[in-house]
Amino acid sequence: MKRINWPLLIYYGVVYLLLQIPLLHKLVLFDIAFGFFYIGFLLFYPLGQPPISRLVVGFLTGLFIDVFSNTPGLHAGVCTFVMLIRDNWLKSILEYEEKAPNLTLYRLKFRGFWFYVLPLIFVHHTLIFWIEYGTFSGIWMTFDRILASTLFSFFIVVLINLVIVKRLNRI
Amino acid sequence: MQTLFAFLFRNRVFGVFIFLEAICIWLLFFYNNQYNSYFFNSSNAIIGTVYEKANNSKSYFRLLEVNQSLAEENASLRMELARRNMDPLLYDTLYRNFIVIPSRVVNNEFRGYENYLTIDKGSLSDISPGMGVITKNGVVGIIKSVSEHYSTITSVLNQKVMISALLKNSNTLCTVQWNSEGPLIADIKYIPRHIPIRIGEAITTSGFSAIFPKDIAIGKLLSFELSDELPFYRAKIQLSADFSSLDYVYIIKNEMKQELDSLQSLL
Repeated sequence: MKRINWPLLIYYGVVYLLLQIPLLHKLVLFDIAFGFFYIGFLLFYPLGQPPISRLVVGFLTGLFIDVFSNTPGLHAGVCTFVMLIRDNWLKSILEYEEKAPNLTLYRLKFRGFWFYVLPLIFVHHTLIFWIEYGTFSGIWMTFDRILASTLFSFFIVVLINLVIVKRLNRI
Repeated sequence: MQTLFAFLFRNRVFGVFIFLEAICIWLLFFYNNQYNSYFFNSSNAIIGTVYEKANNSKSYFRLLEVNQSLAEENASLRMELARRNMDPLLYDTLYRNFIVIPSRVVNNEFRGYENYLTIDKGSLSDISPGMGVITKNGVVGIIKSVSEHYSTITSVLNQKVMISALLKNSNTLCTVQWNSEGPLIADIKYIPRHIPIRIGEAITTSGFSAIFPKDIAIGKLLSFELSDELPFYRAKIQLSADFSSLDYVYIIKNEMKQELDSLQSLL
């Protein structure tokens, strides 16, 4: 288990979670692209933590968003799932060694971003919109929303990374 | 026994995952119990405060628009007052039982599939779950849960809400339910096929459910079709309340609701 860099984690929490709250229903493009960039907090949560604590962090983060969007259980369930698959996905994709626990744009490189961040955002958004729609065939009915929102959220996460991550961190 | 514990220990991560997901599913499916839902929605005092602060900063930039709509409303109220004063016979005793509580919207969703609003009045202002909410243009929704200073409204733009409606021309009872086709359009159901309807016809509340008074506008008939196998029309209406720019809403308290409900439950 690696030590957590608390100031950095709190900084991430402010930028990804607190900033999301007032923008939860305002950040919408053309009525189909919803910007749920709080997922960035989960994706850049430090590596090398025990899996159970990861799940609990995912659950609490989702519940925090749920409370504000009147959808109890929806985001929490999906975030827990994302946290379950996150580390295994990262390992299988990038053979990422856990020496440096903090993921950033410059560590992952843009290739890592495409293969790590985008698919997980896609999974997250697919589940969110699908469950919210409420029927099994709903996945096709909301597919436009899923795709547009995935791209929009990905774009915002990249932008936030470019703004808050210091270039000096580059290896 | 030993192997069981060993098995559980080996799969503890997955076990915790299942446990957390079970909580989520419980929340997701049993949320509708309105007495249960106090903590996990935006009528909660802390969250209501956050939304109010965010809304305050936003509404500052819309003051002109808000003023204009309030002025318009003032004018129409004055007209109503004048008409009532002139004709005492119009005064209906039943209408006295509806008390109107004005309130401000602090959070507004209209793009999801199940939309809720938050307003800045709660149980201290005599609001309780089940009351109807209207704006000057038409029906908005029904109060879902209440805290001391805030309440949440299940918007008409929510697939779970059905509103008892009346076709103005023929006095036909029907039901309005949203179909997630955008914030302006809803379905209207159970119009029997022998009733002649036409596009543009006004649809109002029926007043049967004691939530809304009679004759509050819901919308206008937008389109309809009548296929051979269906006993009812398949029709859409255009909602008259503009959900994308709600500022002030009015909560309707029916003093007779309990009396009516208890009488009807005797049947």
